[in-house]
Amino acid sequence: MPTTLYMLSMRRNVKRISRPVRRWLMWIACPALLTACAPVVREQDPDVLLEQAWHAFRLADYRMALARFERVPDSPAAGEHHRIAALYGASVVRDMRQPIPSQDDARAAEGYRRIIAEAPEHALAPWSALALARMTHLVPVGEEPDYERVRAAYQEVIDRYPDHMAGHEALLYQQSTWIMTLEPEATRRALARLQDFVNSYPASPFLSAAYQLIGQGQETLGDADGQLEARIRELETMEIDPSSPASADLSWRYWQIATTAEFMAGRFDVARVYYQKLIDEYPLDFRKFPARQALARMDALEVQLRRELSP
Amino acid sequence: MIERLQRWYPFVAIVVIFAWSAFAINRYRSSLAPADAIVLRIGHWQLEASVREALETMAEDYRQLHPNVFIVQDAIPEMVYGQWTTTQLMGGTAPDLLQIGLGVLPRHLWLQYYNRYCHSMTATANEPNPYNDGTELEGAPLRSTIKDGMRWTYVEEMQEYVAIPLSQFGVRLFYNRELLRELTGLEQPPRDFRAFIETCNAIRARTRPDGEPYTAIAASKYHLPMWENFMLDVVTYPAIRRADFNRDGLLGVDESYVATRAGLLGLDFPAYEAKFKLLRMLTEQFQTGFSGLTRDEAVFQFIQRDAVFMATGTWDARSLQEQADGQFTVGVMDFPLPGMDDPEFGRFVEGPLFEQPYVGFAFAVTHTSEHAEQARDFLRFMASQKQNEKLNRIIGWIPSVKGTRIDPMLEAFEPQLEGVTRAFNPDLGGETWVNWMQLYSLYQVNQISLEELIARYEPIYREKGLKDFMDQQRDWRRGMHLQEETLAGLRALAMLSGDDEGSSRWVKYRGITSLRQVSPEIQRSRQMRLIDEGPENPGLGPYEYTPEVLDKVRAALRREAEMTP
Repeated sequence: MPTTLYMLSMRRNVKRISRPVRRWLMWIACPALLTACAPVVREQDPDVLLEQAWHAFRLADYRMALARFERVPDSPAAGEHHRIAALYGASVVRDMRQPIPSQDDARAAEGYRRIIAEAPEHALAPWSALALARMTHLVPVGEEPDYERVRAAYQEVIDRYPDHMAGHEALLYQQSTWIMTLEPEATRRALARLQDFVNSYPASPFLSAAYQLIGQGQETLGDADGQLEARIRELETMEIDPSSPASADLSWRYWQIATTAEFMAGRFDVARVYYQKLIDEYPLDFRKFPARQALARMDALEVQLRRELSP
Repeated sequence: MIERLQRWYPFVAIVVIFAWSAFAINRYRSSLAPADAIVLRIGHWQLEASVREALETMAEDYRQLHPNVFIVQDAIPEMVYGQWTTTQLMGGTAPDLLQIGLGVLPRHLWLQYYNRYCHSMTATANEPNPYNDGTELEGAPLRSTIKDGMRWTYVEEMQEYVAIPLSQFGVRLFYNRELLRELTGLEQPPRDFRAFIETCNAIRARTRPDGEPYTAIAASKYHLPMWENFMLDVVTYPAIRRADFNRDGLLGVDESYVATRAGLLGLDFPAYEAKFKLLRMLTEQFQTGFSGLTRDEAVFQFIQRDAVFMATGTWDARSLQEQADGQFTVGVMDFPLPGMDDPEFGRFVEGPLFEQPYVGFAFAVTHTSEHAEQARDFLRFMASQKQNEKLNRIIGWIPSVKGTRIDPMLEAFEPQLEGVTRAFNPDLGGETWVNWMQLYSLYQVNQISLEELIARYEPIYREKGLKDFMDQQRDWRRGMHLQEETLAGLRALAMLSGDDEGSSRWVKYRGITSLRQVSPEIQRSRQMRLIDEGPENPGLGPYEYTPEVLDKVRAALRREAEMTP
């Protein structure tokens, strides 16, 4: 009965609209109706859908990314791998979409957990575990993370995937939470753990990052020689991507090692080597002039100190 | 009938105007290129006639090689370029090639636009430019043929190149040669700051035919930062030794604040005081009320021969020359610096000021382009050694490509590639910055003394600045969220492409992870400790020797002496 009444009132309302306007509306409605009659064209290839979804995610088009990921399992050609990849992608979108209030952490976490539970051997399982740990670390702006919980979450990833890149990354994050306390005892523990890591995984692609953390820890402990050595090892083990000017630019690292050697370790021999490398390899760098100054300064200081030391 | 017409009049008017506009635009566009031609639209904010002429010439040259390609320019005024870009990109009607980077849009917005609406230029940057064949740049990746290695158009957040820059820019001091000679008898302006100020005083002592005194330097609120960045900041360099805690060779705004709180820096730091004194000596040579004037008003005064000097950039060089044509000769000189032997300022001058080679006039290819590959190719063409030299010769700018010749007048703009960096950075943002700008403006026009400036601003900076500093820290955490998103995209791309762990994408992934996600929390902890507890060695900055370090050096020298027979 209410439906009939509604239909009647609608009809009356439509009649109230003047004839020319109705005609215009018809013109507009017709193509829309014709479009609706057209066959639904859906991309069926799950690999293409995944590619499109990630592309949309990178372009910050979260709605399209999510829609594409959610369509993957419906594709007849989709296998288990595609289903997991789509679930991971959808979880990433829910986890990281911007602005932060639009994120759906609960559903994202549920997705990550399902991947770990249902496909523990899948290539995305370690990354799902790491993503769960990162969710505890990357709290909303203005809040402080619960570091005990954060460390425990990283430990789960390390225990489960000790040899995987995600496990190595988790270890770095975990140790950074200790080093950031600037407490000597916590820093010593972190350094021991990192030293163990570099000894156990000398081929890890995160080796340079581990040395970087060791350098930071040594700075806290006031061990200038240890810091200098770690910084040099960090540079030596660094991966260079020649296609990225930021990655390929070592000038600031040379400067960092040189100034650490000069002002913290008192190792003028090492400082000279790196100041000179900066001058030779980066003739357009803004630190070239200060590097020349530093070489002259050290020379002058040594002359003065020699004079003081001479009997 | 009339009633019906009245009722429908607005709709009819809209339809007629729309139809007329569509017809007019279509007719205009058709007149620019044949119906079957490939038309590339290029959008930019350079209204100078020489830029349009140069791009036209490039289009004609390109058509010699690709007869079916026509270039149509959309030259949009700078004032509305931001809005225009936004609407064109969002509406899907953006030109094929879009000039990027104008400051009217904030950087984070440009980032979104690059990400959403522009093609990556990374592949193009890493490939040789075929139009350089037969030159010494043949076979070199395009990025290495650009003077700054295309660093400026590499977007760290995306780990991609987004555009190709076509010109280099610089800032120098322009002067009226004849007026200088007439008023001072000098053929060349002095390079030393004190001698320059004396010359300015001599100019101001002379009167124009209407009885008013000449102005030494035409300036405005637009011009003052040039004087600061390219001249006055040379004396601030010693501050770097006190506050470069992260050892990158630069003074960050956060480091500046932390150093002030730790008692290592302050406005009364002798090098900063020197800068403020120099500033006062300089602004006395500007015309009265300069801080309320606009760029055009200062240019007008210079062109009218009321002022001898004016600071500006390469972008104004050609138009100044043209406007002065027949009236006077425009000279270009380096900014006069205080000498190292200057009794008051010399001890702060350790060398000339370093100038980063700044390239710009950069274009991206938009996603809406139907001929993206052709647009990319046209950019390669303009970025080739021969064409880039020609393009910039017509405009009157400096080419961005290595090994190109430049207009003799512009030779003075060659950047100073060895020197000290500026080390004054009080922009904490928020209320602190507003307070600084207010007080600093009063100081510039001699309404408060240096002592008053320091006494009034220092407490604001130290105490209220903490809130703005903490706001910046919150931005840092926000940045980590955004970075995490970038990393997820990068990781997915690497996995989807089946890249091995040593591939470029994974290297980028690990590089960002290490530098942007793992380390910053530790740096932040150190900064907070410095604010709360001060430096470990009171009164000593990161580039100053501690007694322990000096002892180690002595010990090393002793060992060396013992080993020497």
